[in-house]
Amino acid sequence: MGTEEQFAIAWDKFLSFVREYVQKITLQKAQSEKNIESYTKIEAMKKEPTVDNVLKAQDVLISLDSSLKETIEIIKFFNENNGNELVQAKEALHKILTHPLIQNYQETIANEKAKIKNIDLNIVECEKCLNKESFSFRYLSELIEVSPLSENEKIAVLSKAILDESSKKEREIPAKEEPTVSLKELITTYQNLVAKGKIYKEKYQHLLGNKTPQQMEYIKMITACLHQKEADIQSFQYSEEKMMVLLIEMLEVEEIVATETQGGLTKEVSPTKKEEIEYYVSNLEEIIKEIISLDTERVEEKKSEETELDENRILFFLDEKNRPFFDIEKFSNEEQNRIANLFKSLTHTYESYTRGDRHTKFLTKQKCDVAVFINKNGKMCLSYALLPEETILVLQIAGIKKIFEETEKIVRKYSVEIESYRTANLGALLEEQSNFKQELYDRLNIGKEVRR
Amino acid sequence: MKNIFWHKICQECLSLITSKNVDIDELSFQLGVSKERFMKYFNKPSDDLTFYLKAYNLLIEWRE
Repeated sequence: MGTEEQFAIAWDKFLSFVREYVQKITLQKAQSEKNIESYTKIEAMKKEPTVDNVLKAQDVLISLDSSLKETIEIIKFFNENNGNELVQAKEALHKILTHPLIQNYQETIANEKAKIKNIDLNIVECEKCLNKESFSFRYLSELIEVSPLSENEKIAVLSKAILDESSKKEREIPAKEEPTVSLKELITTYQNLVAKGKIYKEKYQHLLGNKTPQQMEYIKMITACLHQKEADIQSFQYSEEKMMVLLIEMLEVEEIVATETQGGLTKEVSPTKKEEIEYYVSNLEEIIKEIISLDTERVEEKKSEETELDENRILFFLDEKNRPFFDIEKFSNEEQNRIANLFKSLTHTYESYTRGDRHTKFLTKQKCDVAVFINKNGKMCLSYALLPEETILVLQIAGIKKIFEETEKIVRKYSVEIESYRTANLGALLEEQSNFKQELYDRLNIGKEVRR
Repeated sequence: MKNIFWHKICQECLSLITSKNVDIDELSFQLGVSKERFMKYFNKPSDDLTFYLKAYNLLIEWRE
């Protein structure tokens, strides 16, 4: 043991080492993040291992292993001379694709992620040392061991740490006598919420299951925006993506509460700590409420998509002068053929939307309390609203470039009128429009099967 | 964070649109917006951040 002054000198030297060490591992972290990004780029190449994709990823490949440069030059040469089918070109391509770094890229990404996690933990511990907070002695000993301090200095640092910690504990003794409050009820609430959340976690796990690290990063960036109040969940319109964000947010908050309560094992804490945990639990409750409400919306949306419709129950939304919002005469013959196909398939395309064929688009946010769909055939589109009694109300027919704008115009201007169809005598309206429909179908050469 | 997200995801979406030769009319249709609104959201951040996530998810799976 040395004097107080020797302790202080050794301690300062040690802190300088810790600062340098933090800088070093922060650089390592940045490198690992860069590696993950690079591997994400070669994912596309793995999915479609063509010469073009290999050449697109050449910079990344060379940065991962500079010895690949030569092989890439070979591929480039054959590609420029139309020789991709030659054995040498195929061999070079094979060499790239079977390179261990590329073949095991998923494992490498996982390793890099583990490295980042480990570095983050190290940084937290180092910061505790630098801020003179309560740190782990095991970690401190490891740090001292790898530091360039002399044996005497190492002992001095350890002694000072032990002395500081014990005097801190002495000072903390009165704090222990401060009143604590029970966490029992809060933990029960938290556990109930976790159980509730689990149902949705399982129901929607497929949404997150196949996402790339980059997609996951974007979802996490959105949750960070929500936490920092830079975004409002109510502005999110795409239900599937909104669900992904909510699920990740739920997992993040669950993890915070689990850490704060040591997985629900902490029985008593200070009132301030309790307030903090209460905040997170109520946050979790809000997220789960949002998930439940979104789930209900999605179920209802799906039900309306799955409704089987009678093809005779097609109505047209007409303006004040009883005219439709489209002029069939203005469309070319080819466009009219496409429109005829849209009418013929109108009742079946709901199913294709549900299957994800993307021929039918559902307008999610409208100032109208009626679900609006848009069907597409080539570049021609038809928008319509779903009415009760399995009736379709055709709103507009237009090309793909105009359909959204024009449908939105109608929905904005006539939302009250469109909604009034929900309580109207639809049978009488269908009868009223039968002549108009016949004329239109004759013009489009549609058979009698869709007439009334 | 919102600006970082917007810059990064827009840049990546645009690069996917170029590299995969994506038809903007078709992409706008799948996103349920007009082409004009699509362009507007790429010029100025929209409050609906899921729009960008949806666009990115569609582009990742896009087949030429």
